[in-house]
Amino acid sequence: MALVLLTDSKTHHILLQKIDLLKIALTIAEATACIVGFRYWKKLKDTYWKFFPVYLACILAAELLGRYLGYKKLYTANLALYNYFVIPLEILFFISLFYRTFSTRSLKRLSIIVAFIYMACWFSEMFLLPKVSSFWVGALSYTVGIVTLLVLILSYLFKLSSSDEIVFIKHNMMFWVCMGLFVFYAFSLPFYGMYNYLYKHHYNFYLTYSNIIFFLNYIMYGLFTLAFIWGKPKSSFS
Amino acid sequence: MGETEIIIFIALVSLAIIAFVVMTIALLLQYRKKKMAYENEKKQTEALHQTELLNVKLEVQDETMQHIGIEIHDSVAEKLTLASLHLQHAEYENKYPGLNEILMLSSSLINESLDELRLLSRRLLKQGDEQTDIVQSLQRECNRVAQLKICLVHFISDCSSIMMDTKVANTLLRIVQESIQNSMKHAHCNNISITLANRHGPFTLTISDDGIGFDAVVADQSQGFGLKSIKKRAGIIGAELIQTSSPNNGTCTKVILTQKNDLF
Repeated sequence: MALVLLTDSKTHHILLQKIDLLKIALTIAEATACIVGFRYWKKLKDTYWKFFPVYLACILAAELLGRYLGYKKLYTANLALYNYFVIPLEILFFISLFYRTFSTRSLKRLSIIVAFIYMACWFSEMFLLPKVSSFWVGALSYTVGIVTLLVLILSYLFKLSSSDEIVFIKHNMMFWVCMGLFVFYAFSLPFYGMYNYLYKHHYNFYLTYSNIIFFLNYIMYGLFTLAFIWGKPKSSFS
Repeated sequence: MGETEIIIFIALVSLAIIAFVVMTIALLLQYRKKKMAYENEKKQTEALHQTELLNVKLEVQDETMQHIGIEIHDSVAEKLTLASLHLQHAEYENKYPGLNEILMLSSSLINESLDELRLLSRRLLKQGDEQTDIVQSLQRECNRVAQLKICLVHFISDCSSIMMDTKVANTLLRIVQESIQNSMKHAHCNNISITLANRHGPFTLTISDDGIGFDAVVADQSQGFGLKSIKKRAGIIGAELIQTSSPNNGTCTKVILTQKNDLF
């Protein structure tokens, strides 16, 4: 029995070490996307896309701060950083990106509506509803935010597929960003939506899927990097 | 309870996978469809642009010809008539008996030139709505080339006369001239054959030589002006052009007019 426990704890330790490596790789992926964004600043500076590398820099800084807080075992502060800053910034930034990209009034209105829905959920969850868990509070608002983002992504892709702009898809920045967001959010939503449950009842499964989430993140930041390299932000559509 | 949650989780992930695959395939199919339509449209626009450009060129050419025709008729011919009258007058007065023969010869030369100029002027002015006998034109062209004595020129036609729109006939003539020039300049041939077939099947003009030929693939990649202009001319009159050649096997250019009714 003791041996089994020892093996389990050893495996757990290896898993955590592996996650540390994956975290470093994630930071590198984020930094690459951010640096490439600033590298192509010239073509972005006169469009709303100039905020994208700035956003990536903010996310990178927040992630590094989060890593530091985790290292110092300040878990509550780390949680607050994500719940009150990183996640709302992520979701609202992308909603605003869609708002600027959409050319029709109905889709612009849809972006505003989903932004309000998300903010209402976030506000009620953070300040009104009783706290469900001590380590992951924002599961509801996060789920709502991601679902709304997925609605915007699908609306954009549907509109793109029916327009002639699909011919120049390679140079369409929003297309690459959408693909990145879809890959990450659609596959991570079930995980984050059931985060509390998986953490409590299926810890090993939670750890395995965490690895997958890292790879989804790499794909997303890789696609953001491609958007900066191939994209032509002054084209009529994006 | 625990199992239900896991089932929901797996179902959600599966849904995401299906959505991603369907979305990617739909986007790819739509991209392919639109891309093909776009490429076709681009090609059509380019072809239209080329045709328009050539039409403009032809119009300018026509205008220039008409201008030259008017100039010949109004200016050069008038002056030559006057010169001829002066000569006839000098001959009639018989002031220089020793020069009478020369004066008569000069006068008849001027009159011949006048006739030729008037004919030329008429041709230049009435080019648009005239009908031309392509067999006769080609025969004349062959005789002219044969006189150069660079190579033998054979002309075979299954009809003694084929009347057609002058513009079409001229374009065909230019194609023949261009091909003969190519054969003489580059192919170093001994024989050039021009065959006209109209009795059975579509109007087909074939120009072939027994020269050194060329590699069709290489020539296609680096088309010279001669080959390009033959292609363009055939395009203008809506003719099908077939060019076959291989090293040491001569060259054969076939022009087939399929829309006969519009052209004859």
